[in-house]
Amino acid sequence: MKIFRSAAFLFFLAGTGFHVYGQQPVSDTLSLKGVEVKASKPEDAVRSASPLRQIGIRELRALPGSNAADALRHLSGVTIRDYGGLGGIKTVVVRSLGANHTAVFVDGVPMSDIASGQIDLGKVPLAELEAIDLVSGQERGDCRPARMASSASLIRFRSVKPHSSSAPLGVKAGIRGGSFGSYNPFVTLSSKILKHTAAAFSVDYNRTRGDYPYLLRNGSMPDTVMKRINGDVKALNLSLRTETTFSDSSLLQVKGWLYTSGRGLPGAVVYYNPWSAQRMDNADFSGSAGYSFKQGQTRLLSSFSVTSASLRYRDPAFLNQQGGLDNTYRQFEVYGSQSAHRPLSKIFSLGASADVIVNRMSSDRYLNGDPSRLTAMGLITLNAAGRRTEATAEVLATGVRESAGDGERTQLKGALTPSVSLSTRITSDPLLRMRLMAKNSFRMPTFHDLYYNLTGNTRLEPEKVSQLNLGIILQKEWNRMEARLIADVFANRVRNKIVAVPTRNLFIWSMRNLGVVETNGLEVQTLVRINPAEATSISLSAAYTAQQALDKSDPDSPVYGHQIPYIPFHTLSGMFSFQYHRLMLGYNTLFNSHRYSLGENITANRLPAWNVHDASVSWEQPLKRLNLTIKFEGVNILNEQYEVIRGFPMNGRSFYATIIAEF
Amino acid sequence: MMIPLGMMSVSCTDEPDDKPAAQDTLVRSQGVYVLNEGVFNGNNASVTRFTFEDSLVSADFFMQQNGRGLGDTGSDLAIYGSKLYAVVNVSSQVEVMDAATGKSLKQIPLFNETVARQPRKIAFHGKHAFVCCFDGTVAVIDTADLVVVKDIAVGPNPDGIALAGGKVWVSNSGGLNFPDYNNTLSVIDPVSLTEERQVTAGVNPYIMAPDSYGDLYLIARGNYGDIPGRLMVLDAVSGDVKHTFDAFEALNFSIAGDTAYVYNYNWITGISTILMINVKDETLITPSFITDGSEVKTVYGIAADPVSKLVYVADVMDFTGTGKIHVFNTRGERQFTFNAGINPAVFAFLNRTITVTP
Repeated sequence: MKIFRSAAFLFFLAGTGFHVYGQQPVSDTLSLKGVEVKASKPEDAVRSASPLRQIGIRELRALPGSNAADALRHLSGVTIRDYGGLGGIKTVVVRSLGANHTAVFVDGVPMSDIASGQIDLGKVPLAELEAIDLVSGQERGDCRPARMASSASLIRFRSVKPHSSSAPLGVKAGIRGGSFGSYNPFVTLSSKILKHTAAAFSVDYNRTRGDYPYLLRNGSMPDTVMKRINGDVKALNLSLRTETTFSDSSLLQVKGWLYTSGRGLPGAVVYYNPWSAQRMDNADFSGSAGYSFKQGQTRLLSSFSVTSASLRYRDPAFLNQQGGLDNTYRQFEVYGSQSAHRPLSKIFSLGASADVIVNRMSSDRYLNGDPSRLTAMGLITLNAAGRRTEATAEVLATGVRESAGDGERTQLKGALTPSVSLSTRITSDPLLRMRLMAKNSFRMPTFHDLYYNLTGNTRLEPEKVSQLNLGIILQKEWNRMEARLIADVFANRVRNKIVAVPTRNLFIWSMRNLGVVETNGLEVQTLVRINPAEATSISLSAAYTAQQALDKSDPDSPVYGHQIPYIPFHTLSGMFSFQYHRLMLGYNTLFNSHRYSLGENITANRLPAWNVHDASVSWEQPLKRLNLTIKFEGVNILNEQYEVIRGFPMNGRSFYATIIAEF
Repeated sequence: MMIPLGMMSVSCTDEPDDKPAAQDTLVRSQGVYVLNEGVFNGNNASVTRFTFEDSLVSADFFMQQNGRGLGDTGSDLAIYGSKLYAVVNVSSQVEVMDAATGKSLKQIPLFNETVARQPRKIAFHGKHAFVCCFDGTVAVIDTADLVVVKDIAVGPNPDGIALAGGKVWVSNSGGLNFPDYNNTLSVIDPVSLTEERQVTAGVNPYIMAPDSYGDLYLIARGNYGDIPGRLMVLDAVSGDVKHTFDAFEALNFSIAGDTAYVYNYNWITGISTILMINVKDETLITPSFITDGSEVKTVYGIAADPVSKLVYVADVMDFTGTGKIHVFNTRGERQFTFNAGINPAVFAFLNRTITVTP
C-alpha cells in the first residue's frame, strides 16, 4: 500500500539523510514537477529564522494518543491547557501567549473560533496526520496567505496525502481501544479517481466513557479514589480530500471536513458535590479549495474556505425558571486568499498576499443581535537570500470592520504590524547558524469578549504582542549519526491584555483591556539520531523551556511581578524511539514545574509539578498484499495523579491497543 | 499591624439601676470569624479566626480544626447558640461547627437527587435555622438534631434571608433568570413553617437586615444596567417600601444600633465607598465613613459589631489572592488590619456571656 511505502521511504531517508522532517509547501511540489516527494525541505527547522518545532510521521507513529494535542504538548514552548481526561477541551498556549494568539491550519485550511478564540485541538485526530509544525514569529515560506502571518504563532497540521498509485483502491482500516471504554475505529479509502486526481475519504469515530479514577485529596483526610462522572465523549470525524496535479504541474486541493461530537463536561472537582450534568454538542463543517500554479517565475496560490460551527451547551442543573440552560452558538466564516511570489533578482524575492475573512455569529446569549466582522489583510514580504544569510522583512496591514448586530456599533479598526527575521550560517561543518526574529502582532477581541451578555464589553481594544527571539543552531552529521542543538532566548510583551475582571460579584465578570505581561524565556531543543545498522535507528530528542511570564499591569496590585496563571516555570519533554526492522519502541516523558492557578503566587494557588511517562511498542507484519501494524500504548504508566487546570484531574495509568490493516 | 486590644465588654441588662440586681450579664467580645468565599471551583472556601486575647489570626481555621477543606464557594456564616454555621454554595452543604472550637459537628448536604440546591444564606428563629437555596426553597434545619425538617417553596433564586417583625423574610432575586430578575420577598411564618405571602420590593433583591425601629433594610441590586443597586427601607410588618435611598448606589450593609454602614464598589472607577446612615430617621450621617485616610481597595463585606463597637471591612484586593480585614472604630479610624483568605465576605462575632454575681 502506497502510504506504507511512503512511510518506509521516509524511514529510509531517515536512515540516510535525516530528511524526514518538514512541511512540504505546495510550491516545492511544483518545482519538482511530476516527482512526488514526501520528505520535503530537509533542514527547515535548521534554516528557519523563527523558532520552528516539528513532529514528523515517525514521531507521530511512536507517540501514544489519539488527537493532535497529545503530540503537540511535546514541543518546546508549548503548554497544553487541558481540562482533564479524555473528552476535555485542549487548547494551546505558546510561549505563554494564550490560544487566541496561535493560528491553526489543517491542510492549509484555517480552524477558527470567532466566539472564544479557543481552538480545541482535541478535534483533530492523530491517525491521519503526517506532520505538525509550530512556528513562533515569522514563518519561512515563499507563497502563503496573509492570515498565516497574522498571529504570534502558527500551527500547521498536514494529513497524509491521498495516494496516487496505480492500485484501484487503497484501504487503511484500524481500531484503537483500551481503558475507560475507549473505542476508536478509523478507515481511510484512497483512490485515483481521475487521471490527475487522487482522493482520500477518512472516517474516524471515537468514543469513550471517560470515567477514569482519580485521587481526591482533601486536607489531611485519607486520599479517596473517586471516578469522574459525566466524562463520556462521542466524536465523529469525516474528511474527503482530493488532490489534482495538472499537466502544467499546477495543483488543486479540495477538502471537506465534518466533525460532530457530543460530550459530558465533568466540571471541576468540587468537594462534597460530585455531580455534573453539563453537556456540549459540536457540529463543525468546513469546505475548502486551494489552487497553486506557476506563471513564468511567479508562483500563485489561491485558497478559499467556508466554515460553520455550532456549539450547543446544556446544563439541566442550572437553577433558572426554564429548568436549565440550553444555549446554542452558531458561527460562520468565509475566507478567501490570493498569494503571489516572484524572484526579483538572484538574491531578492518579493511576496504579496491579500486575504478577506467574513465572520458571522448568532447566539441567544448575545445582547445586541448577531455580530459580524469583516477582516481584510494585505501582506508584503521581501526576502533576501545569500549564500550564508537569509533575511526577510514583512509588513501586514489589517483592517477590521465590525458590526455589533444592532447596527449601532459598527466600528473600523486598522493596524500595520511589521516583522523581520535574519538567519545566517557561521560555519558549515559542524553547521552553526544564528537567527534573529522580531514580530508585532495582535489579536482582536473575540465575540464572547465583546458581546456575551453581562460580561461582554464592546469597548475592548485589540490585544497587542511583540516578540523577540535570538537563537543558535548547531548541527553535526556523521556517517551514521546526526546531532542537533537549537537554543533560543525570547522576550514577549503583551499590552492591552484582555482579562476578565469581577464586576458586581464573583459570578459576574467582565472583560477589560487591563493587562501587561512580560515574558522572558529560553527554549532548548536537542535531537540525536543514530543508525547503528541496517534497518535500525535510534532517535532521541528533548525539549526544554524555561519561562518567566510576569504580570506587569499595575504596580499597586498584589499580583504585580507575579507569574501569570497556568504558566509553568519549566517544562521538559523527552522522546525516544527505537526501530529495529519491523519493531518500533517508543518512550516519552513530559515534566511541568509548579504553576499558579491564580494571579497571586501564594501557596494556596500553587499547583504541584507533574511528570508523566508513556511507552509504546509496535510491530509491522506484511501478509501477502496486506500490511498489518499492531501497537500497544501505555499512557501515564507510573500513574501520576496530576492536574493541569486546577480542579480537573487528569487520567492515571491507561492502556490502549491498536491494529491497523493496510492494503 | 496588630494593636493589642483590651477585652471589650458591654452591659446587656435592661434592668433599671435602682432595682437591686441579683445578677448581671456581661457579653464580652472574644473574637471574630471571617468566611472567605474562595474562588468558584477552587475548593478554597475557608474560615479565618481572629481572637482578641492573643491577637492571633488563624488563617484557615476550619482546615486546622477538621483536617479538611470547607468546600467550594462559601456564601454565609453565622453563630446561633453554641454553634457556628457556614453555608457553602457550590459544595451545596451547611457545615455546622462548635462555635468555640470550630470543630465540625455535622455536614448537612442540600441536594435534590443529583442537583445541587445551592444554599445561599442563613437565618434563625427559635429552634430552627432557615437556609434559602437557589432552587427556590428554604430548607428548615432543626438546630438540635441538625437535620432538614422541611423545605418551603419560595420565589426564584432567593439570595437573602432575615428575621424581622417575627417573620422570616426571603429575597427572591431571580438572579439566574437574567435579564428577567425578580422583585419579590417571601414572608415565612417561622411557627407554621409556611410561606404566608409575597410582597413586592426592588429589582433583584439581595441582603436584608432589620433595624430596631420596625424596619427591614434591603439591598435591591438592580439589573447591572439602567437600574442601579439601591438601599431600601421596608415596613417589617406590612412589607411596604417606606423609603429608597436614591442618592447613592449600594451593594451591601450592616446595622449596629442606630447606624447602618453601607458600602458600594464602583467597578468602572475601581473606587470603594463606605457611608453611614442613621436608621432611626433614615438619613445620611456621612458619605465617607473612613476618616483617617485609610485605603480600602476592593470592599467586599462589612459587619459592625455592637459588642466591641468595631466595624470590620473585608478587602478582597484583586479577587484572586489574600484578602485583608480592616478593622475600624465607629469614628472611622482604622484600628488594625489582618490577613484573611481568598475573598473574605462575611463575619460572625464570637462573644462570651459572663454571669456576674454581686
